[in-house]
Amino acid sequence: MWQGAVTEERMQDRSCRCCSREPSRESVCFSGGSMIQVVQSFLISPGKNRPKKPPVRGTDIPMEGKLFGLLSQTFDKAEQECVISIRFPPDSDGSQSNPFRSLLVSFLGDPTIKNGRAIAGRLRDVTTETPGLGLLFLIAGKNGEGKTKVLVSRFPAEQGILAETSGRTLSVKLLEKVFMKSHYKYKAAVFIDSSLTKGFWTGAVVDKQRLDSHDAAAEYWVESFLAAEQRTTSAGGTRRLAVAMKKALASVESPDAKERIVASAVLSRSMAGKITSVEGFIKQFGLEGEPSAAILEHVPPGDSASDPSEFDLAMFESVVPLLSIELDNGGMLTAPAEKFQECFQRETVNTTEKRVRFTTTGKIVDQRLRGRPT
Amino acid sequence: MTPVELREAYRKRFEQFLTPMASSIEKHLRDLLEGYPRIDRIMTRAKRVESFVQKAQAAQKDGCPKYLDPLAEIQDQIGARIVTYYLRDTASIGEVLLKYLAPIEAKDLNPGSSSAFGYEGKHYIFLIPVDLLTPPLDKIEPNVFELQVKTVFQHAWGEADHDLAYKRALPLTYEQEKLIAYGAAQAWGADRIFDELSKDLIKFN
Repeated sequence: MWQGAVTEERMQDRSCRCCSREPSRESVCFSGGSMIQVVQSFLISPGKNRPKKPPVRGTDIPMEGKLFGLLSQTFDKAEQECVISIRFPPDSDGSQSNPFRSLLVSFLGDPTIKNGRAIAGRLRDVTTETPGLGLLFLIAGKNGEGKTKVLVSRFPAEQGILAETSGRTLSVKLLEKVFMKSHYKYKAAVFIDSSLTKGFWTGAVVDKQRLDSHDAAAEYWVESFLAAEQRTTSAGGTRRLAVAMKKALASVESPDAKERIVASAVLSRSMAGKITSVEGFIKQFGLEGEPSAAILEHVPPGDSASDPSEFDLAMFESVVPLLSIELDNGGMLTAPAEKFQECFQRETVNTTEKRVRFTTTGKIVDQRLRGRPT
Repeated sequence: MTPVELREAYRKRFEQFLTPMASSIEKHLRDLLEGYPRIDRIMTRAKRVESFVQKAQAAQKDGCPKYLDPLAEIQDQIGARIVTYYLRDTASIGEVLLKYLAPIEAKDLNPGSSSAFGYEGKHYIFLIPVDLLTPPLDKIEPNVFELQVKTVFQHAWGEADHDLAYKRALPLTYEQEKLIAYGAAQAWGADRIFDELSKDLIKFN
């Protein structure tokens, strides 16, 4: 019985550091060399703020049949689907310890239902009525390079209708605990590493239930359940964007591109605290074309442009300082801070009423109506 | 993996990844700390092959190997150090770094006893920033680097201690241990004195 083997065998026995057994349990291999060794599922009821926690029931999923086929697809595609990089911060005393990572590593070292249930229990304890009932899957194995890989995914409960025929009769029933009705609607996290002792500090997530942004995932999933944060800090990610925009501003020649970059910087206030990436910012402010090319040219190669982080307005403004003045007559003046005095000459017209006059001389290179940021 | 295979695997990693990445990290740290005063030096290094092999062979007290998979478990394959003048700067530099870099460890290391003098300094294990990585993130190993922030006195004592005591195969005599600790105490005292003076003589941000 495969199910019996689950509790007896270990993927990698860590009880003695001298021993390093190869996985001996049954596994199913796929093209590309990846293999699945464990699939477990747990029914998660909301348990947050409940004095009496609902029980977490779990089971091993047989590694055959249609359900396994569906789950193995999600396992195989996890790296492509999970695009938001996360990391586990250290404990409050600064040591290399994180509550979710500890549960994950314990499960990977000894993937029993008991250890899987510990992860499921953590999800139950942070689940409110809003996400509601869910089905958690833990799928562990190896990727094509022989590294340990684990996919943690949660599917929400949905309703469905079951229609069955028996002879000449048709019976129709409402089913309330239907999962994976749409297997594109889920939350997931994938972790890949070669060391259980020192690895598994980073991973990636996706929240397919969130429609407003591909760069963001529910706090409930990332912070409360996974005890994780964005891999890139808000200051680090915002600085990357701001430096690229500042360099782009200096390098673009067309006045239109320059003006669009300046305008997006002015409007960036609306992004404060939101999760975005360089690519997300470009899309948000319609900077496609020359501004986009100039900005992306100054972003480090690799995954930097798509790497999301929280937008830190103060950091952005410290790198791309723009001075914007609004007058009581409705007029607005904006220019890069270091060039503002060069662009606009200021004189005091009435000291008592604090009235001032700005003058500027130049050639109009663009004129347009622009909506206010919402 | 045999010791020969391990040495060869690390040598390849040292040449192809660690050495260029150490340079990239140094440049990144200089960018992040641009304009910060009183920085004596910022330096990085890839752990030398011999040094790695020696560490990989370390054993625990019970005789079991300390590292089952040294290539994946040894976290100081890339090391960085920032040396500054005063103790208070080690704290504020740490705060700046924590804004930009993602730690998996952040500790103040000290000898652990009020009557002991020895290794001191701020000690971090940071994830290598995404900005410096080109392949897919899950293929990078190691994906962390060690960073120490020290005063010039902590740095000076640490270098001499590493050269005379830490690397030594045989244990030190009691007298030698006392002298090493005395050196640490002198460095500790000098740090306190200059930190006090700096409070009166320098306007800190």
